[in-house]
Amino acid sequence: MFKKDEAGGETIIAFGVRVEGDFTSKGRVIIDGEVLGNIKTDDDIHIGEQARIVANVHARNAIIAGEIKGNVRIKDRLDMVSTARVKGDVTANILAIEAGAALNGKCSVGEIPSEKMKPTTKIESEEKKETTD
Amino acid sequence: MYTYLYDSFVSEPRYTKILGNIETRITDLGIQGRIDRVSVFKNPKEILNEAIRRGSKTVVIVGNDDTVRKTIEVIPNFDLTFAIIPIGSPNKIAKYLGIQEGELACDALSARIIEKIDLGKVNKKYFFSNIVIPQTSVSVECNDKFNITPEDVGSVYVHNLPFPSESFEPPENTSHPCDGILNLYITTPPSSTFGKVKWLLGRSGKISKERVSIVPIKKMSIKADNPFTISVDNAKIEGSEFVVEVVPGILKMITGKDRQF
Repeated sequence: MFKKDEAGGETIIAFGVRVEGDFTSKGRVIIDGEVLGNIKTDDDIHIGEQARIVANVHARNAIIAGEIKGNVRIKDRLDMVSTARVKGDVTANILAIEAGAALNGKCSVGEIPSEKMKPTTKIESEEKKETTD
Repeated sequence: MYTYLYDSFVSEPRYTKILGNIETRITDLGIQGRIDRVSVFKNPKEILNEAIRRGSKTVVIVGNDDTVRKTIEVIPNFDLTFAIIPIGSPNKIAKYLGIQEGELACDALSARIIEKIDLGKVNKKYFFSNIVIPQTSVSVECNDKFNITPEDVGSVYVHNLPFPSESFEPPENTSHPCDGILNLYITTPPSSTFGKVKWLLGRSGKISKERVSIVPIKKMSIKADNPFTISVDNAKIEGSEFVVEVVPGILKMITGKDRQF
């Protein structure tokens, strides 16, 4: 028999339940209730249509259908469906926004390089040299 | 060396034959040992103390779920391996561990497949299966990091094992006895919107009236201004504050190959 990984279970916050504080999980998170604080998971997160979140959200992948007031930082893919309402900065590697979704904040999409970018062409190198002179 | 802890009820005449078969099988398998009976004058803790003094390494609980519950409260204080030979009913724990009834349990005992199982602890009392806190709107503090509050009156369940409690059956594949966590379930009634009741599709595909929140926890505390009653493995205890935490892998238990985890 295989042993279940520690703390990797699914978390569900149903409608009618309020969470206050810093919530951290290693497994999938599904929220249909209310959250005030911070949410962080190493796995995926699904924010339901009835969810009301006043928190920063960190996850691997995310599907947002509800309301978030806070910054959203997603490692891979973020999907915002038509009922999504996000007021805060959004960072993701891939972003898909359905018609009707609302986003008010800065948006950073795509892979962020881990080190400072070096010039790749001769023209870029010359421009760089001119600015330093 | 083995010590066999017999519950008091197994002395009843209706269990004489099955007990005889078990004792014969134990002897055939070469795992016989001392037999101690729980009585008014001798409780499980005293029996386990004597077992330690004699050098026993394995204690076999002969009885039903209530026998296991009575013994579980003192088990963590002893560095022993435990096993169950189920007699009578109910015997959900033995079945979950893959131990069959009667003399067939002796074969599992002989095979010695040992699992380290988590226990829960509420205040200073250990529990094996679950806690039920009915009809409450009190806030629950989890892992010393966040609070969960049902907006309406709901019930709180804490499960170490996936056994159904009084009025709640945990969703499948959410509770596991070796994962180092407990599962907190909060059920809240559906709200009314424009006079209509909302229905949610349960995980089993059945229509469910209640909403269920599921939160894996290692520790939680719940307190109220007035004392209230909770059910711990079907035993009622009263208090105004309860601290619940998981004790990972503390119980070394012999299991069968048909165990359900």
